[in-house]
Amino acid sequence: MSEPIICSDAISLSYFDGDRTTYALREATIELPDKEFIGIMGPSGSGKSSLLYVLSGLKRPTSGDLNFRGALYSKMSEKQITELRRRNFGFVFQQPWLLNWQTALENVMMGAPETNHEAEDLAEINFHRLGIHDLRLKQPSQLSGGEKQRVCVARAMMNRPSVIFADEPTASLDQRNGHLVVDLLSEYKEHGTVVIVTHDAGMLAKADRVLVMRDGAAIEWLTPTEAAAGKSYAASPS
Amino acid sequence: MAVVIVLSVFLIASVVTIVNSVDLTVTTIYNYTQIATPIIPQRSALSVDPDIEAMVRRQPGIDRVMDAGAFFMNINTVFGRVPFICFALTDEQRNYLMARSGDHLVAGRLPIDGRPEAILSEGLVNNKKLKLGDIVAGPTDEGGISGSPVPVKLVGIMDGPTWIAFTSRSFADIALPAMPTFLLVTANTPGGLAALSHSLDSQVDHSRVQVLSNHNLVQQLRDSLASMYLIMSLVNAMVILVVAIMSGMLSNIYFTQRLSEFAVLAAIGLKRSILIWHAVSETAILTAIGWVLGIIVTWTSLSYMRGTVFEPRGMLIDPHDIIALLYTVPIPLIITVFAIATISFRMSRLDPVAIIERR
Repeated sequence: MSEPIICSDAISLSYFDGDRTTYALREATIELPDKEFIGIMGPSGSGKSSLLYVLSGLKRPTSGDLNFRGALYSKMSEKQITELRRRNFGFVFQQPWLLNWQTALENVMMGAPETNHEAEDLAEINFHRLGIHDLRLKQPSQLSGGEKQRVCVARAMMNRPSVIFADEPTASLDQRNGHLVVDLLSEYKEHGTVVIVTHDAGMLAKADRVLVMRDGAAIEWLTPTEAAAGKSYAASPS
Repeated sequence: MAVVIVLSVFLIASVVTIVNSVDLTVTTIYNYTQIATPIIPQRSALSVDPDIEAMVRRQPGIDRVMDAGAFFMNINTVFGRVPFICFALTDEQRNYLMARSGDHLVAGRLPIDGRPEAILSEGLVNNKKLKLGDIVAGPTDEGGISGSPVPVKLVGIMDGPTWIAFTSRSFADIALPAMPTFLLVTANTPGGLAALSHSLDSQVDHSRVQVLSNHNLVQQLRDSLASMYLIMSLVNAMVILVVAIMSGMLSNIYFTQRLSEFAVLAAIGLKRSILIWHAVSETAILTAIGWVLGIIVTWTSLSYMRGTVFEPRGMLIDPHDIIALLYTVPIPLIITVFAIATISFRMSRLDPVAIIERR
């Protein structure tokens, strides 16, 4: 296994709900290796998305700490965390969030840290690589769900991120488009780590490893075959 | 939102322009007093006493003191029908005043001595809906001082910046012997008339003559309409305030609808300061475009309505009223300030995950 790029140390995320504390994450300690395709699975409410948001700096853990290449998140200001995301992380969300008043190309360019010729060339390459070059001047309203999600993937790659975080990127797509998007994401592991949260073990056939979450805790790592066979996750109560 | 701004600008600019029509009417119908100041006898005197005339003629800065007659004709104004003076002067005096006022004959001919004929500025002709040969004033005119014992025919139309009307002095002497004569005073320079009139006003015995200076006439009318001006200003202020706040709230709603976009941009790492700048500059550009379009719509509509709606009813309006334009400036400014405040506040509390997870 390669050097870890993100390490978490007993991170928890809790909410106060009246007089009760609800844990979205419970002391999760994990290491994300560089240039691997990682799947995160678990039943609804198991903390998959929460883990992704904390690992990516979108949420701060209520306890524990984590670091990116040794830099502790807890020592970073909000601006620094934002800059960390801008420079090092790419995001694909469940819904293909695009700015409706911009073209696909302009949306993709939003992911570039700087707007210059190099970024424009990279956008062209990404559009070709994802098979949506003909769509680059269309508005999001003119695109199908699968096409929109591929534009989101292109945007996520614009800053040549060390990690792409994808939160259930296939949930709103049919099987064919779902596999297409995951295949495109999995190809990125040549350049960086890809973390995909999904319910569907079938989408993780190309993953290097699959992390199983339950009740906010990171339970175990499985191979894609084990995950697809339903080990652990399928047996767990939802 | 741009449409709302266009309509708001149109509403406010139109209201202010229409309100300003009162003042425009006042200044237009008394504009001739910027060329010459009438000094009229008081009580039942039929002319200005010689000693007062001599005192007037001794004033420094005087160009001419003309002995003039007059009759009055009705014109339509926003206040209803009001009398407007038609100067009865000799040909030489009339030509002198026409040169001073910048009015010149563009249709018909000059009045012939002794005949019941008059020439009017184009503005007056339009106001009274006359054409050459029509009757300007006559024995059946309504109003206390309006009318002429014989019908006076329109024989010429003048074009120029000043509303002014002339008949021949000999006609007034023949047909209007009971009408008082008065003095018409001009200054060496048109700009000096105000000071000259003020000086005369401070020297004359007001129980014997009245100095109808532009300042006195306009100020008197404005004073008498002070309450109406106040009410209109309050209405203006309220309309502006309500429209600006409503537009500001609309911009806030518009921003709320796009909160998800900003959440995504924040999630992928765009700094909040950049997002705020992005949102505010977008709002500012939108409001600026809306404002410019609003002004264009207002100017176009009012220019059209001036000829078809307002002027036939005696309402003088300036479609390109700069004051009206200035009254609309708070709209884009308040909307932008409102947007900066609300967007900054909401952006500071923006939780991208909460918004992204909501759908």
